[in-house]
Amino acid sequence: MTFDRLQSAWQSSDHGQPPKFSEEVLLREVCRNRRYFEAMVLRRDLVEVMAAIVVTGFFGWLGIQKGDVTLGLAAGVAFGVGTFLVVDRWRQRQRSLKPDDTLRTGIQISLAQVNHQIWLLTNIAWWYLSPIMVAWAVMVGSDVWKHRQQGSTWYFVGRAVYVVVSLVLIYGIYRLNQRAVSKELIPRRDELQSLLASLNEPV
Amino acid sequence: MADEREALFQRWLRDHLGLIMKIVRGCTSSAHDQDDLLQDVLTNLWSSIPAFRGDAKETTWIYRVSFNTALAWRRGEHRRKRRAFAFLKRAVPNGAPTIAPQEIDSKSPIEHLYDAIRELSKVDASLAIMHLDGLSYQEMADVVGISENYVGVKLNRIRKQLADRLKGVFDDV
Repeated sequence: MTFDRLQSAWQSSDHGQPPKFSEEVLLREVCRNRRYFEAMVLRRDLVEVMAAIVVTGFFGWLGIQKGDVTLGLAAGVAFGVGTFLVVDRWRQRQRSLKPDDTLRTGIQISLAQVNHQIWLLTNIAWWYLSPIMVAWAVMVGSDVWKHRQQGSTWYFVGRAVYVVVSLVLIYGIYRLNQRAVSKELIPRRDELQSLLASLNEPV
Repeated sequence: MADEREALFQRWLRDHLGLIMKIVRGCTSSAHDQDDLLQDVLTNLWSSIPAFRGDAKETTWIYRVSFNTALAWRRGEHRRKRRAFAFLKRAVPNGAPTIAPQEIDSKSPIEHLYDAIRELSKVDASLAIMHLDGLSYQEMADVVGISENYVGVKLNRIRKQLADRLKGVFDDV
């Protein structure tokens, strides 16, 4: 069998083409899909920004009302993490694929994005969990300190359970993210690296 | 402006949907995945129109957008968009059957060829499809972003891989 025969079979086949499409209906579906996708991205961004604003506002307001510095610290952490997320997403969007990019550029951009995701999730302890934990530890520590004289045994037991459950939860978030890195992102990175290597001409 | 965009998109659908379907079939096997990838390709093509200034050939543009979408596409990743599931079915009058041509054309030689293409890496699959479609080395180099010489080197390997995989299948074609 020669490649020419293969090519001629390919070109003469109808490839099981679907029946006649209604271009107008298809166009409507595409536009609806696009709007849905854009709305989904906008909604996600808004939720993140709103969550940061609400948490910052809540702790900030509470801190001012009660004159409590630890609540102000929590507000600062929420603001910092929220700003980091928004700026990071915006910066990544600037580096996204353009429609006329070649496949090589497409792979390079995808690889950079995957590497960034790996960096983000691998370091989640530093940019997300640690700041939250520090603010949380200061708040809990300060509360326990205030109750050190008049607090009941049940109060301290309750606080201890609260601390343990919170630590387990935070560790769970950390493990989930590391699992996503090893199960999804690293295989994807390896795949993209191998595709990119296959495009490098041997010298 | 919006009318021009719609008119161009509708013409692309009329003239090049076959080409897009070949790419979709060459990169995914199940009907669900094909439907999913086709949605993404068409949505990206629609979004790409404002950037299309006619400097590139239409087909080169469509190949680039489609293959880039196929490269980025991951099975199951877009299930959240399932609201639009069976996307094509709705676009075909009277609910006529849409993709899943393998069901109609069970293991025909062409289906074996698609199987062989799907076993290649996505980059090699894209070169194989363009080569089978009869694109020049220059056009393939433009889509992939490698030199014409290297396109030749890669196609030699791809041809051999396909021929090995399809031994006996195409004897009666």
